[in-house]
Amino acid sequence: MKALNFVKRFLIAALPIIAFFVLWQIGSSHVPRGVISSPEKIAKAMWKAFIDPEHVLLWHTGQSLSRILRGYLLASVVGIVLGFALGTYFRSLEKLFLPFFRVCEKLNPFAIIPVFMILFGVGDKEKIAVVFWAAFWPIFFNTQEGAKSVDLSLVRSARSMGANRFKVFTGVIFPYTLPSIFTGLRLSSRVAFFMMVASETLGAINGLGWYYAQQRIVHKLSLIYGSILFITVLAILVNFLFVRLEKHFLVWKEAALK
Amino acid sequence: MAATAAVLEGTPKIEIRGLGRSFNKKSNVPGTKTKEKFFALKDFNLAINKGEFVAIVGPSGCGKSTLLDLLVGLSKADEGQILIDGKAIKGPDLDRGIVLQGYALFPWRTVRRNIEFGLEIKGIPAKERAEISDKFIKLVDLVGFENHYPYELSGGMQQRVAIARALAYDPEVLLMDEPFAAVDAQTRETMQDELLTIWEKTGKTIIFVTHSIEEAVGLADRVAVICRSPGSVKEVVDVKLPRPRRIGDVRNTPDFSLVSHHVWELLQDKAPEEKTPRAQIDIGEEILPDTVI
Ligand SMILES: Nc1ncnc2c1ncn2[C@@H]1O[C@H](COP(=O)(O)OP(=O)(O)O)[C@@H](O)[C@H]1O
Ligand SMILES: [Mg+2]
Repeated sequence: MKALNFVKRFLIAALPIIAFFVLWQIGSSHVPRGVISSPEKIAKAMWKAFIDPEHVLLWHTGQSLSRILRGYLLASVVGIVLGFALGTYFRSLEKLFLPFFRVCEKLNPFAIIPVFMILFGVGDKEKIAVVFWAAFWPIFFNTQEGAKSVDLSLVRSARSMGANRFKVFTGVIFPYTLPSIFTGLRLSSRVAFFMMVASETLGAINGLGWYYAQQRIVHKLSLIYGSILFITVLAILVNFLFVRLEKHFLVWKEAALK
Repeated sequence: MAATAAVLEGTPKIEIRGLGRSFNKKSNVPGTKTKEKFFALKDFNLAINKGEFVAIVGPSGCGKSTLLDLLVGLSKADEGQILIDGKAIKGPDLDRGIVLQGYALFPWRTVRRNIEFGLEIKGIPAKERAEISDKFIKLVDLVGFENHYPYELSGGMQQRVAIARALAYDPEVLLMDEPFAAVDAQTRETMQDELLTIWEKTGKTIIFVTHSIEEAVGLADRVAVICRSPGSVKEVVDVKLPRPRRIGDVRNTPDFSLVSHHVWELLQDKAPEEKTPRAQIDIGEEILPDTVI
């Protein structure tokens, strides 16, 4: 019964998507050649790119993912540590730093790319810096705000049972902030993804963005659309992964919200 | 059991001597701070014997929670001191457990793991922790709910978890801050009786803060009546009702009414500068039991 419900819900959600591709397929034959590709052609081209014995597409995907991961992990560590610092024991510095950080956050990340190219030179370092920059702010701000709003009665409760500073942190502040951290991580994973692709299309020798830009140069329509779809699917998968992780780690929160 | 009414002899379990605690007055202009101080507690004296059940009753804002904070060791007194077994307290310790106003359960911990929190701090190994938490889950009648999260429990059940958590690391003194204020009347009476049973079984020294006269008189050996601004003990009233006691059995007795009425009178007798009309005195719904007058 439950499984049937799931299938039903899945089909309902998938319906517009299927309709979209069907319309696209029909429409593509009525549009002048060289403007859009058809889903059928895209699927064929992408399939070929996937099973390509030299693994060109997969290799470039790997390059991008590895850079995203490095920049993202760095942003997570620095963002969470700084967020906790300015949200808890160094709250007094909040007034000093937060306005400046807010300005930094508002800077257009795309405008930052050329600056980082000058600072770090075009290459891995620059790309990682771009991802770091984009991913850092949501993680930092969410962690900081979460830690700041910790329920003081819970802290008092822990302290009344003899908890020291360390135990108050690990036993109360950290678990209390975890949902906010997850929100930050999820938001910035998306940003990280798109910023990486953007920075790769602007200047790179490999990566998914580069791959996409290459297809544009040779005007291989099916692969242009194909790589856009592929990037989207990857982003959806990453988001899905986060939803799963949240469900797993935040049972008490997920259920409490229902 | 250890419930004989108070005759102070030897060293009391807890001795509060000339206690004073001040706060900075809240400024009328938002965003600014005044240096002006006011005393929430001043010249507060009270001695409590081992195994005694003492209720502290007073209008809201009279410094009851402030007093418990000092007793737990969460804040420091400006004047005077608190002695436990003759020694001044230095900070929170596992010889005192508190049930805070509003439960303060950890929402990310199950019932069992909430109860085990203090045991973890004490460094007790997992197996022993489980045995102890089992015992207290039984004591507060929560068998079958060990793995539930707080949000899955009713207010009364959450209160039981908070009590079990405070009892689990075996403190000699149990402090309770208006623990039953937020539950409905029927649950409250059940919980009050359960608390009496637990007290009879464990022989803890209990300091029970409430703003309900009926609750104070129904539960305690002695009732300390606190007057407002600055909070200090106005009178300690002996409750010589029989033990073991059930609230429902004593509520309609003449003795109960007499004591309640006396406490009520003490609370009405306000400082001359305060002209709060009777109806506005924030002292809970049960100002006067119907049986009196
Ligand atoms: N941290 C604090 N800072 C300033 N004033 C406080 C603080 N804690 C309590 N007070 C004040 O002290 C008085 C006593 O408060 P409290 O002990 O909470 O009263 P009760 O628990 O009896 O209702 C109140 O006037 C309250 O506003
Ligand atoms: Mg209070």
